[in-house]
Amino acid sequence: MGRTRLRCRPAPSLALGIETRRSRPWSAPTRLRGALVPLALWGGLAPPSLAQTASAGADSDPTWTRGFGYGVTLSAVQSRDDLLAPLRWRGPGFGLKASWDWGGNDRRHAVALRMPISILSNRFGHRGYAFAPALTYGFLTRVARSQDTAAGWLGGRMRLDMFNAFYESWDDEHLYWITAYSLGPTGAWRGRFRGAPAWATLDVPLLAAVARPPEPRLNQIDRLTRLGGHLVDPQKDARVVAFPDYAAVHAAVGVVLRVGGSSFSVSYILDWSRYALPARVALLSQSVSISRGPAT
Amino acid sequence: MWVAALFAATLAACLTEPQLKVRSPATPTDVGDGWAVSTPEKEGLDGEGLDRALDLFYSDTAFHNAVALLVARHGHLVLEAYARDASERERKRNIQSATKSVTSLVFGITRDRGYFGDLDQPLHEILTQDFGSDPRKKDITLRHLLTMTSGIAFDNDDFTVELLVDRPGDPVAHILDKPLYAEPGDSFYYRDADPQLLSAAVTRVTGETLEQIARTDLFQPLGITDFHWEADGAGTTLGPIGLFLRPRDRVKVGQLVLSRGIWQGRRLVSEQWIELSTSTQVMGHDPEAPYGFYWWIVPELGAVTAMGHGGNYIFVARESDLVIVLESLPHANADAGAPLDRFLGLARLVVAAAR
Repeated sequence: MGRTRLRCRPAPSLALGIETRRSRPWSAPTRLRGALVPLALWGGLAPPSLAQTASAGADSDPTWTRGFGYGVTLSAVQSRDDLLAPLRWRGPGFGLKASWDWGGNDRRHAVALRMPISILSNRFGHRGYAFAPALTYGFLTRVARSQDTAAGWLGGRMRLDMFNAFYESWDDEHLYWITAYSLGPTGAWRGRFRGAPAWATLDVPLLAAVARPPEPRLNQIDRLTRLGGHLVDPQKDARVVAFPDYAAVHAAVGVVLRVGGSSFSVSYILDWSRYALPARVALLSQSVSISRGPAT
Repeated sequence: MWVAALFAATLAACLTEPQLKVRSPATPTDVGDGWAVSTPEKEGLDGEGLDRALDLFYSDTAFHNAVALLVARHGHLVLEAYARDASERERKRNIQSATKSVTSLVFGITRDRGYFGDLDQPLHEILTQDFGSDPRKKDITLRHLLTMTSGIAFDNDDFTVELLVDRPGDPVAHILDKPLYAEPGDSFYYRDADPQLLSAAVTRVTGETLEQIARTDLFQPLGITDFHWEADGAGTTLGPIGLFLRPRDRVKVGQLVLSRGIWQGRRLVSEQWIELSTSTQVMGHDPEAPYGFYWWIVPELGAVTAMGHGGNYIFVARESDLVIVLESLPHANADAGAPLDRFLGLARLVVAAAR
């Protein structure tokens, strides 16, 4: 097993601050070189999470186990929706996550669900709330592998990202949402950091169907008092757009830690998205996740 | 090390937050929409006084959800300020409960056509719906509807949810099915239900909706071409809310009232109706102010005003020959919006500039 260490010189792998010590030679089927390296290192499962579970022994790549994963996320959330006003709202979030990974050593499928809620406020101290579930499915193929289990994966990912906000103190009658069904390439790097399994992932949606609130809207036309309204209404009238009209990045880095005989994953997840219709909306979420199992 | 710095920068990343308001020249532009433009000085308005009003309008604290402030004097548009940029000029927004005041104008037009001669006509003689087992409901008259005194207990919070989300097949029956909180005519209670029943009565009697009448007999003569007026599930125009107008078109509505029903030499609404609807008919509360037929009255400034949620005003100061329009983001709540007392602070500055 190769050890990982922190490096202080610019290199593609250092974009994450980690690198495998013995990153060469790469073994079959493909060597990662040049421009492929950052893709391999910034790639893949979002939100990723990895742990060595009972199934780990069955995998030739112990950094990516299969099965069910679950965990929690703590987030710092920011939003700006000019449909309401060009105000930045920010605040903490808390969420649950679950995942299911399956497939062989060279091809993997990964489904993940996140259910975070957050409490927001603007610079006037006005309060808001957001519910931002995300459901993803990724299919990845291993494109490179080093001698010591570091591997690069490339593939595609379908995502459903919702951000459903209620800016109570500013507009107590409407929901402000952006719902994006997106498709795009994904890449993942999986290796080791200081001896522990580690990974990095990147999703960049290229095609999306994006739903936003209509303009104009009547008073209280959103079904605030009904849970179904919060989930169904934000799906309506989606518009198909391509990058960069809908621009988003979903990236993550993580490592598996072992404490007292139990292993769990700690990861940092970055979600950013921007869309312009019917008015500019931008979201930025940075999360720390703690999970067990291959929560993807 | 730069990687750590990059990571730290990522952690510290923030979405941009521009200035909520950007002050720009408030000189009106002639865009060929029927408004004659002028300068405050030419129309006898003190520039410094107006600047103080603009200071307030552009402040983030008092009016942080306001998007437009316009002033007309002596029939000329003299001030046109937008909090973000001039594109707001072309943007129609919900005037909220100021819709009720336009409903009043349209109702006046139907009276001018010969309908509704008797405001004390019972509603049950007009509508075909069942008025239920409470016989007192048959005492509800048009006047009660115009003065928010029908006695029907239907809170505004419930109104839009039940009528516009649930969209019952017969909205009028849904309203009439509500209990009474008081004898008809006894108690003012500001609700959307009464103007909605009035809208239904207009459609029942004239065969046209408020929107259809307004389109041909009000908005078209005023040169208002870009508007939107919502309807309930039965196709009846919403009498209390749901009219979307552009800022300069709102001023036209105010100017029409200021000119006692005349726009550019053409009478659109009878002077009698303007006088009747903008004079005290009942004492309102929340806010405490005299109330006409869907117009709030401000005796202190010799004015009447349409008032909509969040800070949407069409303020007509007769004694000063002024119209002031404040447009605010349409749905901000009272804490973030501009309640009447806050708006009057701004209106006083403009009125004072005219003296």
